[in-house]
Amino acid sequence: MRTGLAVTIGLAALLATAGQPAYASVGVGIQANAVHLDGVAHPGGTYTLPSLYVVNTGTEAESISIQVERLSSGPGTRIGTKTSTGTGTGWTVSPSWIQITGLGAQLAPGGSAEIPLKLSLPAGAQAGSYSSDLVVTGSTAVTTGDVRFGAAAATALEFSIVPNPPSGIPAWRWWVLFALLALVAITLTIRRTGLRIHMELRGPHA
Amino acid sequence: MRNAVLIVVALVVVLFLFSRHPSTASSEAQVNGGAGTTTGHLSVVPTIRSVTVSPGSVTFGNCTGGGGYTNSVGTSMGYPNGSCSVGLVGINESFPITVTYTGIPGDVFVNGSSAVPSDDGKSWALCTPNSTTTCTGGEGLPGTDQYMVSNFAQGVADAGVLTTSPRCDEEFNSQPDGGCSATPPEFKSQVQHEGLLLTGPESWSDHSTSWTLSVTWTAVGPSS
Repeated sequence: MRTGLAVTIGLAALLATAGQPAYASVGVGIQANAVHLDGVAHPGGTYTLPSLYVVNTGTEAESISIQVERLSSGPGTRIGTKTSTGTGTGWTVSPSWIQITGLGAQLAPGGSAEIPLKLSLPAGAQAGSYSSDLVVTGSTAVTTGDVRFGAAAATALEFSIVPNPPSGIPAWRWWVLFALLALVAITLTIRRTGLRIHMELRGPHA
Repeated sequence: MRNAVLIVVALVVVLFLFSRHPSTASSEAQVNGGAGTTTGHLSVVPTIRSVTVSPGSVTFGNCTGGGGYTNSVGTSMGYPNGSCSVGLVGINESFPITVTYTGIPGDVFVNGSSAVPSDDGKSWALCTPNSTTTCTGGEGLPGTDQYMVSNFAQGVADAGVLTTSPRCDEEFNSQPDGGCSATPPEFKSQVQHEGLLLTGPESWSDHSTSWTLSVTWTAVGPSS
């Protein structure tokens, strides 16, 4: 009886020890390649960026958060300021331009996720090359201890903005102009080849 | 017209010659009948970078400093400007925090946060000597509702002072003279063991006896 009690107490102690956060770890991994928008973006436009791959490398379920910031930029760096420090040259991305979804659920240990990203530009966005970092931070629900450790990982975010066509001319006029130019080119080509097209309209009793 | 016919005939002949001579091996395979499949396995280099910190949380101890009735006792930090640590330097040195970088080479950054009291009252701001968040106490120590945290590591002589923004963890790479570069061998892991030293405020507004802060390590690309 006493032996059984001792074994039970020992097992309980072992389980309690194993459950302590001292043995837990927190970790985050991220794709090494930059999130890069193919093609160019225009002010006022909305674009789907390549999704961001993240993985939980810790031993506990983690909540994931993502910040858009420029790491290691100089102390004078501000949003909309052109700098040559940090992850590259160009303008710093405003965090409000990036829409991040799919962060609701916790990520299990060893689990990974593809986080959808969208770029929504204001109408007044400056043209140029933009570069910042996507910083993914993992945090656990550990409630013991007075120092919580966090793990994070960052990868670059890059895209370019070019101005819209002159705003005084609607887009449909550009299409009409393009169609007229194409018609002229086809006509000239046919005439140069010497091909003659004869069209004749006849009634049903001709 | 005759030239064109000749060219077409020549093309047909060339196509015939090159399409009717498969290798001997495949001819035998056709004669023997059946089909075979082989499976190829390919390993590629890792395409992620990660950082893992163990344990996930700790409690400060080894507290010293303060004065009078508010002197430090054991794991409770005193005022003014008492200090506590996670780990030790010196004779019985220990570095309880393990930071592991895995994947393609990059850098490791580190940052701290404000300290939050258990009653969610007035926080302590993280201060750094000679910076925009400078410590306002005497001799460069934290002033009212300020505190300072530095990290130290095995094999690195100087401690680094944490800021609220991620900055190069000068303690991460012990070879040759510190620095934050992570260059794991053969795309594996690079490990560093670190400790923390906290210096508390000169005076305080909140009377809580339990405070929480966070320290975050970040894996970044080498160009950051």
